[in-house]
Amino acid sequence: MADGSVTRAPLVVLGAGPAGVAAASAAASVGVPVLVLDQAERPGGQLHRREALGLGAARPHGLDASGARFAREVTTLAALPDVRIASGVRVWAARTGTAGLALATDDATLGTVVSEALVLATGAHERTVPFPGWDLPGVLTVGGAQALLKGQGVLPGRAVVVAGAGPLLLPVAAALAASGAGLVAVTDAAARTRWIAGGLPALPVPKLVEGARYTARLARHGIVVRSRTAAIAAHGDGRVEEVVLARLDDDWRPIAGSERTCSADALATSHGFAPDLAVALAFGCRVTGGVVPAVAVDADQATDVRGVWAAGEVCGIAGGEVGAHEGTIAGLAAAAALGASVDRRRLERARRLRRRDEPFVAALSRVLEVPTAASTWAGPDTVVCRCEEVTRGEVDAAISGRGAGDLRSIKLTTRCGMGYCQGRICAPNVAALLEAATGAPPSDAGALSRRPVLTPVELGRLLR
Amino acid sequence: MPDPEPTEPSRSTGTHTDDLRVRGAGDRRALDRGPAFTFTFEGSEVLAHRGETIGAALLATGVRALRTTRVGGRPRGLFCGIGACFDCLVTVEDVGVVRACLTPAAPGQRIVPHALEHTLAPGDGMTT
Repeated sequence: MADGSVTRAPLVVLGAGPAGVAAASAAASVGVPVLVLDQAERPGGQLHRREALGLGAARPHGLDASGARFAREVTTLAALPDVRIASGVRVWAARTGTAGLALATDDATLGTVVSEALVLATGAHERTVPFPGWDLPGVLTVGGAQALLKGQGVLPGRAVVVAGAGPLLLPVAAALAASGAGLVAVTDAAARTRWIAGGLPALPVPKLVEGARYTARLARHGIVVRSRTAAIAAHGDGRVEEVVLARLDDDWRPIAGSERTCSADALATSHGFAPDLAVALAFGCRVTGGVVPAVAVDADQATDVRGVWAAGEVCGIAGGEVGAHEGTIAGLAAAAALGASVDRRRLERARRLRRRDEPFVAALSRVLEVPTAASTWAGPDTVVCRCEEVTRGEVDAAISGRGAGDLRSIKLTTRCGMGYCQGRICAPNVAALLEAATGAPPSDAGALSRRPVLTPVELGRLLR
Repeated sequence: MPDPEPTEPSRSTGTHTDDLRVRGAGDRRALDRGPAFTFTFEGSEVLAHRGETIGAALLATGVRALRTTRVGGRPRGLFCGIGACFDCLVTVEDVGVVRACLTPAAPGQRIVPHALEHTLAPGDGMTT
């Protein structure tokens, strides 16, 4: 990992979304110098994405209340003398060494960043259930459509189907409608009643009001959100031209005869999120959870690896506010471990806030659950691992025919998860196929994403 | 289920006639875009504005397929849009392979679809 320069910092925070910024602010508030590394050109993570700086927007998008609060927090943080926020920095390898925790970056000046303590706030990416045609150009994730719109001011198409599940669905559909994209259909795979079944009392009222507001906004554009409906196929010559929608039963099995085909030039589709575990796994942090694993942490957000804390979506999908609470705990706990004087009452207050989130987090995880039967949307020839082009048929054959009983065996037999994306996209889907076949989630969660080198990197860099 | 009112999609096929840039509608105020320039994709000129990514500029002008997969020969375009999936790999001449969704477009770039023998650009790393 010797790449010329070495930068040392007592505390490094990886990721500048809500959790990372809260962690850095908390640690800096008790006098610990912090280096924040983030791959985006400015802080915000996926939640508070802004238009690209280079666009030179004379009238930038209006920020919502939480975005404005976050922006103020970043301004305050960045102004502190012992805080440095390094944007546009990517990490390509991570390991524990005698000198501390080392992150190899692509930044020539920073080089390898070595710290005594590290807060991982690497966030999450979306999960999309595979179906025939999901790899056609013009099919993108709901968050991908959002990033294009918010970051670049570009629509995914003129006639767009938004189909999926999870909290991004309605806000993104509403934003697309408001920006002039023609919405052909907006469908939610889950039943409307899931919010009640999932534990409605646990969901904060503002969240429900927010959902109702998006539905109302879509209605103003003449769009009715269809629940228990999914995009189960996309067709077209080299790009999306048609999308097949179908009604679903309670287990998300398409109801025969309910299919409708509509013309569209884009399909935005995703079904929730998966924590980005690459760096955590590289450090050897323990992960828990079957189909969609997350980093395991204690009440102080400490992982089982000495010196490594984790906060936000990487510890489980819970949203930005919960992530910020976790960030504060992680930042204070890491600062205390570094010898800073931390008021125990402050740490206890932060922990209490996080405990209060617990019913919401539990309800959200029930609401976001993707039924195993959704893995039947893919046909035998449907690619499940997009990078290595491994089909559902090949994965099924590895499980049933060759007795692959865990993710690692499937990976070794089929090459699933060995491609560029390092299993980020296929891992939950392969795990779901394994669960569908064996009745139990994989015993080796995270196995598709465990690698020594975190990113495609030219050989010269490794040999240097 | 009621019929999801089919709409005729735009039929641009990479000839750069359609433009998907938001021109200020609804509650999204127009981005006052910076100066325009061109780069080429597979030899055709593509218009871009300062600050746009290669992927956004291509999509905005109607180009959806960015590469062809090596096994099945299937076309791929922007998918995750945030640098996680690596579907949108393209090769920038004299630079190397990059993710179109993350890499800013620049005047005069000559870009072709990614092929296996192309070398990764320094630092088209990953994710943090």
